[in-house]
Parts: sequence; C-alpha cells; structure tokens
Amino acid sequence: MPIGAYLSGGLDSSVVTALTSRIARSRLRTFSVAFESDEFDETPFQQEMVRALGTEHAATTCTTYDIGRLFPAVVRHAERPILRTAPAPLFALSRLVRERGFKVVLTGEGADEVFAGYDIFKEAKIRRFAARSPSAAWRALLLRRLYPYLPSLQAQPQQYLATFFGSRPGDLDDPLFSHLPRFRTTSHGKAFFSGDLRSEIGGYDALADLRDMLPEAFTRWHPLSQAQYLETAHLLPGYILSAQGDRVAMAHAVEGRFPFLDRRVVEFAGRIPPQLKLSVLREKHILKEATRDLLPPVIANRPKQPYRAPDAEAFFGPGAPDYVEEVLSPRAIADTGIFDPRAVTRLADKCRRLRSVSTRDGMALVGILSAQLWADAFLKLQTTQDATVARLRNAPEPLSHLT
Amino acid sequence: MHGEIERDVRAFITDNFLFRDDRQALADDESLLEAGLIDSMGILELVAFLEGRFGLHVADSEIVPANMDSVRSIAGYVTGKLAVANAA
Repeated sequence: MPIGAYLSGGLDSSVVTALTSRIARSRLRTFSVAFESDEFDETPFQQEMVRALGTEHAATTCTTYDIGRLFPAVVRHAERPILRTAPAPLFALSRLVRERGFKVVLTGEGADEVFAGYDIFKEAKIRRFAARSPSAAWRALLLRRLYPYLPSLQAQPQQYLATFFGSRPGDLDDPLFSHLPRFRTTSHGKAFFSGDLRSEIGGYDALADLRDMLPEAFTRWHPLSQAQYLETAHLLPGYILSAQGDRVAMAHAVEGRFPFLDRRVVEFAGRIPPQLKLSVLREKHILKEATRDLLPPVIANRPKQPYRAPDAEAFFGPGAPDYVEEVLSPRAIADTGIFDPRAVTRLADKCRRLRSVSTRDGMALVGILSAQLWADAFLKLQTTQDATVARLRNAPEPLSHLT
Repeated sequence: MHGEIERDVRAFITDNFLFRDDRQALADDESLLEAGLIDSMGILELVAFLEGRFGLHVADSEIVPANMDSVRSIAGYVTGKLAVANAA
C-alpha cells in the first residue's frame, strides 16, 4: 500500500517526512495546503522541505471562500458543532490525497502535545511568573513577543493585554490555570444562547466538571505536565484527532497515521524532564536538538507557526457562500432554538461590517454557524423521521405493517 | 450633549459587545473589562468607533482603563476631548 505524508512546513511533519523518506522504497509522495493570505500560508517552507528531500509533491490552495463553501460538509462529517474553521482546509487536503490515489498519510500530529510545542505552554509559564510578581511592567511585552504571527495582537494596548492575560485572585490555585484565558474566551459564545437553553443549563459549570475529572495526583504534577495533560486528554482526542483529523480525512476515505503518538514515543516523552521539553521559552527543545541534522536549518530554526485558517471572514463579503444568510436568519435561529436571534443578528452585522473580528467573536460566529448546520443535518432529519413514523403508525390498516 | 454621547456609547456597546437585550441593564459605572465584555481587541474596536463617531483622535497613551472602562468614563473622556477641540 503506497503511503504519503502531509507536509505543513513546520517542524513536526518535516521530521516525520524526513525520517520516512530514509526508509521509503520509492520516492515519497507529500501533500500540502496553501493559503492565499501570507498570514496563514507556509508554502515557502513546504517547498524548502520538498527540495531537501526530493519528494514528489502536490498542493491544494484553499481560498478564504473555499473554507466557507466546504464548511457545511465539514460539519456533517464532524457530526458536532466546532469553534474554528481549521478542519476545512484539511478536508480539501484529504480530497487531494484521494484524487492522487492514496489512502494512507503520515502526519506530525501529537508532537505539540507530547513534546510541548503549543504556545499555550509558554503563555502559562509567563502568566504564572507574572502572577507571582504582578507589578512587573514587562509582562505584556513578553506576551506580545509570544504571538509574533498575530498582527492584531501587536497593536493592542499594553494595559489591556496585561489585564487579559493577567490572573485574577484564586487563579494560581486553580488546577486549570494554564487554560483559563482560553476557557474564558470560548465561554463568550454562551452569551448567544437562547433564554430556553440558558434556563435548561441553569447553574451547570463545565469547568467544575472538568476539575472533577482530573487524576488524583494532578495538583502535585509539574505545571507543564498539567497543561500537557489538559491538551492531551481533552483537546487532542475530542478535536485535533477527530473534527480536524479523522473526520475530515475519512470524509475522503483517507487514513491518518501519527508516528508521534506511537505508544513507545509517548511513554518515552513522558519520562523526559519538563525543562528539556520547554527550555526557558524554547518549545520542543529536545525534539529540535534530536532532529537538527535531519532538517534544513531554515526549518530546524523556524519559530513555531501554529496551523490556523481564516475564520469569520470566510462567511461574509462579496464571495460568501449563499447558505450563510439563510442559516443565520432570525427565523432559522428561532426555529432551531439554541441561540438568541437578536444577538446572532448583531454578531453577524458586526462580522459583515468589520471583516476581521476578534478571536472570541470569530469563535462564537463559527460555533453558531456550525451548530445551526449540525442541527439542520441531524436534529431536523430526526424530527422528520419521527413524524414519518408517527404518521405511518396512525395510518389506516394497509400501511401499518411498515412500522 | 453629554447625555447624547452616553446614549451613543451605550448603544455601541450593546450592539458590539453585549449583543443581547435581556441582560440586566449595564450600569453606568460597570467595568467593561471586569464584566468580560471587552478584551484587548475589543478596545481597538471601541477606539475606532469613538474616532469615527465623534471625529476625535485618540492617542495611544489615552487608551487606558481610566478613560475607557465604563459607559460613564468613556462619555466623560469624549466630552473632555470635544471641549478641548472646541476651545482650540
């Protein structure tokens, strides 16, 4: 069975591809996504790896509006609401793989969890440090340096950045400390819930639930291990390997394989001291040291660029897909009953007007849109089926054997 | 004039940060940061609105919670800026 590899241009997939090309019996095939916008595109780095390894390469360019057009199919395959559009370009990528006659691809998934590559690990380290010396004026500067690839963040006023990333009383003692800013950003989406849904949820606290699920020894672990655990136990299986992994790959009958998640690799990495994974603020330190000779210097020394895709802008503007206005219409929103029609209209107006919105508004918009598409695809189908069954049950004699 | 400014600011915050009507009314001196209504990106949206709606220039050094953290402080800041502009 011929095996291909995804090549993002980052460290992890480059390591996997470099190691695979050494043992492959024929010329290795590699596959990439390209974006129109420089903010997301990594084509030069992908080309660098293709040249260095001599792989036979294919790429698909995903435009902002391609994401909007593919999104309903992505939600149907994910079978759940999602907060980001990042699975959509990978849906387009697995289609390319399939068109080229491949059924199995290797990817770099898992390295960021296992070897501590995510920015949230560095962010938590800075926040913890700042929380212990709260008057330090340089902390916002450090945070700005942490996200050099976010142009909007660079412009944000220092005092507000400090408040956002800063800690509230009690945060330091919270076992979920590392992820609190992210959870707070995400929970903004709840402002759009309908009155009915709000009263049904009542006082339910998802974070309290999550705290109850933590392993008994959790609070005694190193802070980095705690953050790694939250990523690995919850985000990895529920999102990265699912909506953004298996679901969009299998949509085109492509199977992803993840060498970094080999049990032996994970167990080995689990025994490596935290300071060798995140060395001061250098992510995946030991992995970089171990693979330095495998990669061109420009890849090996590259600062991390997380995989991201255009969010809210994929759904508004001159090339926006037709279904968006219908799915977000006050009637459709009221029909589904999950969200407040007036609030959704205001958010959609804001996205239309600004084109580029904040992370939290973008996540709320994508969450609402995907929940509506998900309800259309699954809940309403169920209602139609139930109605049909009921009608047949009540039908005169000749039809009743059908039920 | 001051009342009008306050009304415009409140309407902008409702449409762009609160989104819903059924939340209990935003108090004039309620902290937008503490209520989680505004973040570091939202503050730039607010500044763009103030500059566009009232025709003033907000200096970077003025983007601080003392000027921008509640309906009352924002309206006070705008009133002050307009008074200076008119006097000039």
